[in-house]
Amino acid sequence: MINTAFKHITDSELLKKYQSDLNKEWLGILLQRYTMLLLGVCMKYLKNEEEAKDAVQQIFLKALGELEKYPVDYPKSWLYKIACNFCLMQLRDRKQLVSMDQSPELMDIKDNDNDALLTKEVNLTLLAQAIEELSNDQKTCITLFYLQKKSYQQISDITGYSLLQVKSHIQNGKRNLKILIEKKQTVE
Amino acid sequence: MSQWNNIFKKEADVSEEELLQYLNQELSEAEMQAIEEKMADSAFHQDALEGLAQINNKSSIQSITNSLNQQLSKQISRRNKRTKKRPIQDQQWLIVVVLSVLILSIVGYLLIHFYR
Repeated sequence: MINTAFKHITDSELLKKYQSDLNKEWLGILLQRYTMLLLGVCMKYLKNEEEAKDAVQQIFLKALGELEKYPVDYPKSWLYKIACNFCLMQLRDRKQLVSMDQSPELMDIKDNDNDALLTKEVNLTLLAQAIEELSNDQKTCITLFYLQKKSYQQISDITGYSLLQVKSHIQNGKRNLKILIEKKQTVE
Repeated sequence: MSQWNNIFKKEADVSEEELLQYLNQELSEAEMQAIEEKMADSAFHQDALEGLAQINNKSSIQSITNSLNQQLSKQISRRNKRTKKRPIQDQQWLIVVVLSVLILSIVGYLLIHFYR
């Protein structure tokens, strides 16, 4: 398959190749890497297989049009944003009520490359202190997931939380840990 | 304690095959956890997984993906052809315009020359 043959080329390299020879096949290879994920995102918001398929095609057309005109720094995050916005517009057209916390437009979409904590070794003493400051729910889920390597399902079985609660405790716990560590680093 | 270093690790790529195996629960708990850890920081993957789980016939996910990819390939080759053809068509117009100007000039010159 095309995707496997070009697996070693990064998204940004594919975009550079397109910019140098204007062959749209490069854009095709890039977009095809995310077809299944886009289908999933559209399915999550639109809840209908046929509409999700149509939406992916529309997103491809939109992405092709934009990529032909402008360079994009983080194609993966950018495509996710396009997909979320497209689905949101579809939902608005359908006049369905989307609650604020589920609204894709309001989600924080950024690339993790810019995250300062990713670039340097985390100070383990600070991390241990920060973990102790988390709420019990978050501490338990984060410890089970990252230290004891339990899956979401196993954590759910052990703690009695639903899968969604487990995911949310891990996500919120991580976010709080970052904030706590950054605070401690500035104090030091 | 060193395992904690993974906690802020950058999200790793998850292949389509891994995603499907995860959805179909064909993996051991340890393998499931490894994939969950790779996707933990990616809202894109989390949303996609949630959506794909809503597709009733899981075996159709791969075929839907393949057909969407085929349609995209067709679209791309159509767009590529259009871009390649345009310069030739533009050149043809250019030739027509240049020839018309030349012919008009010659005709004009001859008319002026013979009727003077």
